[in-house]
Amino acid sequence: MPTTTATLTLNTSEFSGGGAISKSTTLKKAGTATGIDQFTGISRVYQATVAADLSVVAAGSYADAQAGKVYIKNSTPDTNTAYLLVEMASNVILGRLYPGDWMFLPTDGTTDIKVSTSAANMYYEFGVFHEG
Amino acid sequence: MATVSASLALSSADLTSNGLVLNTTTNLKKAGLARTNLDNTTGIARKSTTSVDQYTAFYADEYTADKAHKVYLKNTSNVASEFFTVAIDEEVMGRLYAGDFAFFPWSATDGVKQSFTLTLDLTWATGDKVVFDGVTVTTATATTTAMVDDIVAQADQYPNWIPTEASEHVVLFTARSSNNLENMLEIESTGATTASVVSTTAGNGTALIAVVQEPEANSTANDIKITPSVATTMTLEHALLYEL
Repeated sequence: MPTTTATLTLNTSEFSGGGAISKSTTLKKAGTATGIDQFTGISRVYQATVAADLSVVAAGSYADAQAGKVYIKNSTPDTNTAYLLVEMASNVILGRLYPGDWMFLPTDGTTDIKVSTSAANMYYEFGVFHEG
Repeated sequence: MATVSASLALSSADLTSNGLVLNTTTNLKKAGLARTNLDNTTGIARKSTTSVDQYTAFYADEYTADKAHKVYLKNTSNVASEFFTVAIDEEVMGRLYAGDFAFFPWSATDGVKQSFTLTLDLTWATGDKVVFDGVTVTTATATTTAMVDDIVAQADQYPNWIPTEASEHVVLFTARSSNNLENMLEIESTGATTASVVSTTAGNGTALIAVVQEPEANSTANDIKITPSVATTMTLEHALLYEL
């Protein structure tokens, strides 16, 4: 089975007691030691106009109760205000990804994940690691 | 301002035929035009539980809405079958299995807080009482105005509500938390009295409540909620980087 590794590093020297923390995990299927073996690839999207509810994870396309992971990044050049609004299911707001920001989130295949662009001419990328 | 960088590396030699190498880094900044660096953090913390009861890791009410906050979560378990179910409000995001982490933006969208008025009328006597939310207020002066003042003066003592003076005879109680479902008033109509508020008067003094904000609208704050999968010890590591 494939071995896929995700590593998060948070680094700051300015908080007292700060410094880098680095956490790695191997992406595995739910409740097992078997590596996740399906991947959508990384999609890159150019959105010319402001748009709402662009699908990233369509829950109906995946089995439930899985240990999937979704990666999303706002890859718009830094315009300061062009954020990507990330929403769950029926428009429950998760948060805003400003230019350069990324997220890595578990997805269990039961909840839609969507994004909305706040400005014209935005770019974003995403990929889903899943179990089918 | 603090500079905090967040990096993600995703790699695999055999997930796809040409492998996967993805590296991305961002400096965490505040929302909006200024885009200065995020400068507040809860620090890295751990919470251990021994039940499968859901708990709230971060309350939206405690942070400014629509900012560029970031949440870090990690399941420290080594047992492959153990997971935390992560939800925002009532929507499940996913499961964090042993060793898994998550890093995501959070808007901390506020909910609607329940509120009601308590109107004191007719003749109140020294020693009359109003009991609510575990707090007993006994008036030392025989006027409704003084009783309102006495209740408001005890604001810090109410664990779930904040009383403020709406008028000289009326106290406005506002819930401290918009997801404070366990403390809902079970009242349906204006002017009803309820066991939630108990008044004891020697004379003909009255204490009537009227709903200002219905409790049905309350469960809307986008709190980050965690549910352990087993009742044996599980530990969640968590942190919030936020702005005021």
